[in-house]
Amino acid sequence: MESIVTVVKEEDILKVNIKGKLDAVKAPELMDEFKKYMNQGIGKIVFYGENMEYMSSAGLRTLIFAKQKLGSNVEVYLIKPQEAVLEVINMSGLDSFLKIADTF
Amino acid sequence: METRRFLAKIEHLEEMLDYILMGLESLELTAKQKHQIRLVCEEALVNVIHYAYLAEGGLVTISYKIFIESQEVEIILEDEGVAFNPLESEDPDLEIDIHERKIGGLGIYMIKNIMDKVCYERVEGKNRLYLKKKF
Repeated sequence: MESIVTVVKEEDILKVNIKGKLDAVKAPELMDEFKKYMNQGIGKIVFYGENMEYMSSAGLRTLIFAKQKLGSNVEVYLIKPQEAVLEVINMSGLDSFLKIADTF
Repeated sequence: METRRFLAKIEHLEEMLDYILMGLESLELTAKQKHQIRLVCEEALVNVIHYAYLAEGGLVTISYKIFIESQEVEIILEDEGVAFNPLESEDPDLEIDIHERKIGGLGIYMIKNIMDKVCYERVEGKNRLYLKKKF
């Protein structure tokens, strides 16, 4: 089944919904989407993780890019990540800069 | 040992991962273990696609062997691209401030973290990556 990534901007919040896998096949698409929002005054980026089954280092790169390049003080949220995704995030030490929560 | 060759293109990544994961079915791995194997193989194959073959493309040979009694798997990836030893990349600094974090090196770091044994060889013009894990 093909993975689906949607990005919606609401005021200064970028809402990212991922269904399926954020892997080397799908992550470049999200990266291109993020590039459109550079210097647009984004304050928060929210990844909705409930339907995201899997993330590889290509997906982690989009998280790092979001934090580093989409604004000077962007807050990155990850809502309801599945265990497999959380494991990868913890392994790579990226949990310390993400706000991981059950709701936004 | 089971072996198959694939075109080393990102469009075939899913097919390659399915080939490996289906071959491991008789090990009856948990969902978490399957995720780990998928992750390791994706990272290793993406390195072949992006670095060994750059934009040119070529073939990658995937071989695997399972040991039911000892619950082990061996996976070997071979390609004929430019010499590329992923084990030479430095481990990322996990403690560094997020604004300084470099974007590379995470994939191979996770491979080393998950697998029990990872070896690289350059033999007869081929890159050969050997991976082993006991569950």
